[in-house]
Amino acid sequence: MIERLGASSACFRNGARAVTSSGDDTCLCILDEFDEVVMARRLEFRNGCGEQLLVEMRNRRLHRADFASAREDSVAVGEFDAVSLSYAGAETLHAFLSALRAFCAPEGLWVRSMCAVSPADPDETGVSIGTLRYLLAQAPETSCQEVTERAPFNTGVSRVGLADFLADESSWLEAGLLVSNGQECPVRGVSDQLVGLSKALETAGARLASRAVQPAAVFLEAAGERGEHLAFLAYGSERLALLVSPSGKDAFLSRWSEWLAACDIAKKAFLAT
Amino acid sequence: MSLVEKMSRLHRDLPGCRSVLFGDTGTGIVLRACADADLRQEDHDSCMDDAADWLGPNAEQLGALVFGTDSGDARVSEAILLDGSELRVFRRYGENSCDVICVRSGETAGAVQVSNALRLLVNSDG
Repeated sequence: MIERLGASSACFRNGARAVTSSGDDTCLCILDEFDEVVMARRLEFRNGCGEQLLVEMRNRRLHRADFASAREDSVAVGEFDAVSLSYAGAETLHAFLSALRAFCAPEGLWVRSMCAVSPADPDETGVSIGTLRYLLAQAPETSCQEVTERAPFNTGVSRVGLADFLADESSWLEAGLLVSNGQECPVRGVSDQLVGLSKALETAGARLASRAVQPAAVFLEAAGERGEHLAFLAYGSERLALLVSPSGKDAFLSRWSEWLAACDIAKKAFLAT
Repeated sequence: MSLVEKMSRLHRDLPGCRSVLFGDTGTGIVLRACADADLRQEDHDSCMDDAADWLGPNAEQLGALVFGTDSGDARVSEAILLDGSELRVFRRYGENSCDVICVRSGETAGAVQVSNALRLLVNSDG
């Protein structure tokens, strides 16, 4: 605990923070996050499979938990509905821990702390984190490794990648840099532009990825006289940095909307098969 | 027409518009909100955080990395955040102002329309 309190962590402006963990430790890291909450708070966790876990903590106990997902075949959501937790509901606690294991996906985990929203119920008991730790240790039958082998939201689900975004003749594009699986691939532009885009993409890509695991883009309209714009796109492990011509704003936004729609169609088609 | 009336009209007329906010990115305070009833202050604060993030010094640093620190091009006047489920557009209310207008919409195909509407609103008051 002391080491965790002293450790530095990458924080984003929206309050999301990466939870650093791997494999079997991930469930314990989430319990550690619960354990560190003193005041009444709501914690929002997001994983790399497009799933979300919302919990409410009061009096150092876990009172409510809810899983949600954008994908229809979500493992965690499929096993668990939003409930109040108490010592009396042993089955519910086991179901919660089972869903929590399924939630511990390999593609990163982020947590955000917010104000509690549900009023305290006089009859609520909640469960202590110590109890959850005990139950987790007693029922290791579902291996975290097993669930981390699930395909993340961004791979296999859709055949559309960020590279396809630039597949057509993009006359509005002045410079572009695609990063896929850690490999940089210049799309267009001179070396000075590409070096700048690469550096900017490191920061902007991480900030976009902290928002959600679905495709996301930010378009920045520069105030200067040059009139060029910046755009950063993130989808799973892919990142794209673009320098857009002064007159290319509308074309870029239309193209991105089209791409999002194509991505959505591809995802639904994949899920239907 | 006052700014509040213009914000209300935007909220009413823009397809899929969920909220129109006026706030200060320097302090992160939402000064006025015209929004759907199911949105809470927390949602507005989150929107203002995004505005501060993508219009403020962090965004300027990104611009400086690409355009250089000497040029005024690093300053961002408008940021558009668009994913598969939501559109957020943030525009400075004045060239060097911390005041900002934010629009949050579920109509992801309407980015150009929202951006144009915000530019008109800001320019008409400027």
